[in-house]
Amino acid sequence: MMRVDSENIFPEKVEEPRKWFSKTGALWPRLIEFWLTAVVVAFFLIRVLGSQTARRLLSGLGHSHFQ
Amino acid sequence: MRFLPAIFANMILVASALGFGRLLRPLFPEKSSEIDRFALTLLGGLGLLGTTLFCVGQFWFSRFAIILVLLPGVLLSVGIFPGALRKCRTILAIGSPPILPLAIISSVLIVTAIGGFAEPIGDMNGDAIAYHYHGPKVWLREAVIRPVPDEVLTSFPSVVETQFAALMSLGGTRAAGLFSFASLIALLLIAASLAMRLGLDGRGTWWVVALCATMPALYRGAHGGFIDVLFAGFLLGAARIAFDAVTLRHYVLFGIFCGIAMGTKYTALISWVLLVFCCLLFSALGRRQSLQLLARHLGISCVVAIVVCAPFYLRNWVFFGCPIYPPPPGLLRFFPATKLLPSVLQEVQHNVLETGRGLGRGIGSFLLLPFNLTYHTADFRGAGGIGLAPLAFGPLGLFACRKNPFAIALALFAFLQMTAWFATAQVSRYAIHVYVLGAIFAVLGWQYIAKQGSRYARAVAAVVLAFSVLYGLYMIVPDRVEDMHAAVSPVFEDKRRHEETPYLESFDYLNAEPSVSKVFILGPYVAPFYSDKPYVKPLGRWGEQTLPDANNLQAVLSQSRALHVSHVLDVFPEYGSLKLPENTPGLTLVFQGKDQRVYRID
Repeated sequence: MMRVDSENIFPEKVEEPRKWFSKTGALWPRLIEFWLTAVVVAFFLIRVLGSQTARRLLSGLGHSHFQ
Repeated sequence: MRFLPAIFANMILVASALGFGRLLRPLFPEKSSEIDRFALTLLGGLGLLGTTLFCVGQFWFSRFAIILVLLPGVLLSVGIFPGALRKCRTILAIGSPPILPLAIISSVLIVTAIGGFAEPIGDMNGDAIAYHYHGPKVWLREAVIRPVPDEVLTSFPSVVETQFAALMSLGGTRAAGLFSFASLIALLLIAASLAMRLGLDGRGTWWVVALCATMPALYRGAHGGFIDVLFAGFLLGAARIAFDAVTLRHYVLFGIFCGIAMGTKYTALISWVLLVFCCLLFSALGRRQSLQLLARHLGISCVVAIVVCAPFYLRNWVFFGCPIYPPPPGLLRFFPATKLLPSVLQEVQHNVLETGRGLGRGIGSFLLLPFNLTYHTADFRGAGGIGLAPLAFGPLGLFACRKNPFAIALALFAFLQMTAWFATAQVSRYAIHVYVLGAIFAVLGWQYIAKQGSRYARAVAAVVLAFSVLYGLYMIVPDRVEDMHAAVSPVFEDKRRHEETPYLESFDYLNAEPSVSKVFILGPYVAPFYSDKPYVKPLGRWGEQTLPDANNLQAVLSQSRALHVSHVLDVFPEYGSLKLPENTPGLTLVFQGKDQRVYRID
């Protein structure tokens, strides 16, 4: 008969990532920064500039510029 | 005053659900937290209540029968109210609630509550009008739960729809709309429960709830008659229990939640298999019990799940010779639907394939899924997406929890579920439970950055979170503005009702006219939800034929006396094969509006 316990009903703590950071030096933090920036930039390009409203605004601006 | 019946009905239903859920409490893990218990009690209670209403409704579904079902639950819930205040304080005090997420969650809940009071409107393109609300309305009128002959989708499993019926019976159609408030809270509670189980502190848990509440793709499944938020709640409840299950009681509870989910939506059949697989894998790897014992426990949980969902599938088997009815494309070879016209089956399957097409089936599309779910959700009927946070922080959250077996089990389930979703029906609402898991991993990742990231990373993380929440609110609130306006302004509500409900004048006439006993509705796309009188619709929108020779107008009209039909509703331009010619003998025009006429049968 295996031991039946309910210890892991309690939440484990999120692993402390400090050690990992020290091992990987500066690359990992830079990678995180790049990833977060890329996600925000993609959002701005696709959801904000790519939206119907932005397209209308941009085409309006372009139209008035070339007149 | 017009809101009071809806509020009263919802209070009674939720109290009854809490009472039914109390029956499950002996099965809860001993060391589960207050929030676990409250979330599982509410969700389990809603599931048991819906299943009980369905079983009783097979024989008797009057208001009295509904009250008799609700009453034991209400009485059982009385016992838990003395401790309820204390528990609410415990829940609110998971940490001291941080002001920002609390304000965000409150604003979404206020919008949901006010918008929930609006009367349902629309045409047959809306699922609520076509079957989620229509089925319950017909069941109440007929005083028995049966699939509506002219709408094949009313034969779907109906744990939530039976509760819509109970609410409509006690508080009118507004009560069913207001149920979105309770549904959303139930999902947010189980999200908080899972977040705490994964090690998040009070502040992190509040942010998980705020992210979930502001996901437009999640929110879309909470209102307007959609049942997907509660469905997701049942599955998450099952997952919450499954990956911590040790004793037989836990596995029985897991089975009950799986059964409730399968009694809510067919797609839970796949989720059930995946949950059992993940549970087997992680329990075996964790060596918490012998393989023999694990197999026995999981076997029992499967039997329990089948028993709980059996009424819905047995009903279809008895009536249609096919438990999964109408069968989805992949199951047709196992469950030939002999009682369904081939043309109807073809139409339904075409619609399933069309709506579930998403962004294609290739491996490239699969790999781009996280990207597309974040940025191109309209292609999945995603109603504005899931926000930036799951894509930005989720991988980091997963990395931070890589040694937590519970987190890995949830992540594996989410991955397998999304793979199945991708291969079957890519409709955003069907993946709401995965979105919740995405929000939890997102906050785990955010905390990881907050602890160890550079100042720049922390600043960009704050921008990501702000964009997620603000964009979500920007999508959600304007979408509900008309509902809120309709709820607070009877004049606007009446105007909107007339503008957006096709042929409403005819229905108003038919509902008010005492001589109307039963109505022929000739147009297949006319929404019979708006008829308070019994009706016969010879042709349904999928081509269902409810009468012999239903395509022949003369044959249909000749049956009017036998069917006790007193009036005919004819609309244009929606003729189909039942085109009523001018001056048809035996019919007298009694009402005429724009594109609509009502005739009395002489």
